[in-house]
Amino acid sequence: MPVVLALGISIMVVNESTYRHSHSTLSAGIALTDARVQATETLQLLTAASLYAHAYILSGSTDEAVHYREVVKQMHAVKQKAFDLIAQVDSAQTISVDTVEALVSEEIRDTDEWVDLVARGQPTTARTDAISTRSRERRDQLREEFALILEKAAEIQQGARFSLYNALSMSRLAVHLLALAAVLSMFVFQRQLRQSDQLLIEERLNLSDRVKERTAELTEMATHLVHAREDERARLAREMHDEMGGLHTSMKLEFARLRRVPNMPANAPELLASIEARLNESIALKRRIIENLRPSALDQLGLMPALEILCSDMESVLGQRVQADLAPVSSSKAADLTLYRIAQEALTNIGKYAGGASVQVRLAQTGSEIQLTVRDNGKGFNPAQIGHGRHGLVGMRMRLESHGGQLSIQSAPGQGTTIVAKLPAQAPTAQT
Amino acid sequence: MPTLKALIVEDNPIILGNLVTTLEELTEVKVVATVDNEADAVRELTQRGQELDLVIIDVFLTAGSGLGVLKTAQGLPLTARRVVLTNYATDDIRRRCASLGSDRVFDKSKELDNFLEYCESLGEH
Repeated sequence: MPVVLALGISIMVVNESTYRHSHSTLSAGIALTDARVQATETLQLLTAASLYAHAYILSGSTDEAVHYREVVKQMHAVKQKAFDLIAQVDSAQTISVDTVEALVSEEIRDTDEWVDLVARGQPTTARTDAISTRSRERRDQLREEFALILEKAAEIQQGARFSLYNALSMSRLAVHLLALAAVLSMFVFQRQLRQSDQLLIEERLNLSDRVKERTAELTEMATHLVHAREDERARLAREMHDEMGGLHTSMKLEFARLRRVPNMPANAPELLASIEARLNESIALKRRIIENLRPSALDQLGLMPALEILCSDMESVLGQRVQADLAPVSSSKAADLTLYRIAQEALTNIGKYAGGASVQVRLAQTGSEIQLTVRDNGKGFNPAQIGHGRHGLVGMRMRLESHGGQLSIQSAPGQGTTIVAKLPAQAPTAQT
Repeated sequence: MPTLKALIVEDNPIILGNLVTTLEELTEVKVVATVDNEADAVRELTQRGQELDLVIIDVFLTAGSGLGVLKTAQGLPLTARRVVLTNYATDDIRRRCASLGSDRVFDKSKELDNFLEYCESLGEH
């Protein structure tokens, strides 16, 4: 930017100074020509004055005297003009017009004297004076002096012309150079722009890479967390099932034995029954907790049986009919767990929000695509306004996508809800 | 009264202990062998299958599956009754066990009394 500014100012300065120089040189040239004309005119008037003076001497007519004085006046005016024009050319004031001035004064002094003499009635004296060659000699000298002055002025003018030629050459060179500089700077700017564009592109690519990296990191972390959680749940479920389960079954067995013990006190059976009832409740509770943590049926029997059990369990929890329409599908253990969790989440949500009458759960494989559908005829909702409880399904979508699948939720207020999870079929994980 | 010789396939030691005690106390069943995995169960069946009257199988074992044991048993010339004890007595499991040759399926938590009654009834015929 400052380069462009500098270039612009330079061009304007060069242009202006060249113009001024040319202008003054031209004016001076015109002045010189005019000065020559005026000088010639001066000499002519001087000669005319002399003639009128002679005529007056010869004729004595006052007309001639009048003419004489007019011409003298004219001559002075023209002479001054000539001097002014010369001064215009000679701005340094090196030329002196004193000699010319002096000669003119002498001549006029003489002619004035003649006219006076005739006016005073002494024409003869005047005639004698006028006959001398002095006047002519003086006019010759005057002519020479004028010529000299004009020559000096012409020299000055010539000098000025040379300097103008130089200035014009330099100006021409300067403008060429400035034009070249302008073009060059434009190229430099272009390159700079391209470079900065390049930098921007690189920067953007860089950022895009970093974003991709970060997203991959976050996805990895999220997946890791999901796995960690599932692993923990599995561990808890296993502990409850194996250890607590063993204790429960043992207690049931012992109760069976206890019931057959003879001679029990009267209130014993009632108490026994009560305790056993508590035990049964405890077992039921344990089972519910285990199934919520890690459906062991899923690991041991597979997705289809696990979903079957889930549906029948949920029937009593929801108080609705849960129709299970399940077919075997080919999927890995991880995908099984994800699909199971989706069904679990969907059914839990139905319990929390839908309040309908019936639920359909469908599992099928068409070609190489597995599809799980959970449909209810409850309240429905507006999918655009996903509220608190739906976060579970949003998390499920991510899990599903990590298997290369997709989740779609269709719902409208008053029109029930349909949740469809699709994913590509996979080779089943080998059973241990 | 004839004693019924039984093989129990169960991997939980607490349940196993109680099961043996209860059976011997309340029924005519005598437990002659216990194993906790499919491979051992198969071995017992092939070696001593003829002697057995009753095989009690838990579906979920740490190594192998009770269903596998059933399947093997189906292929052998066994006279023993096969009874499944499980925590997951769903229709599907019942169907599967039945198709693999089981005589009865009992839910470990809800149907223990029925199981004991069944064992008792075996001794009476």
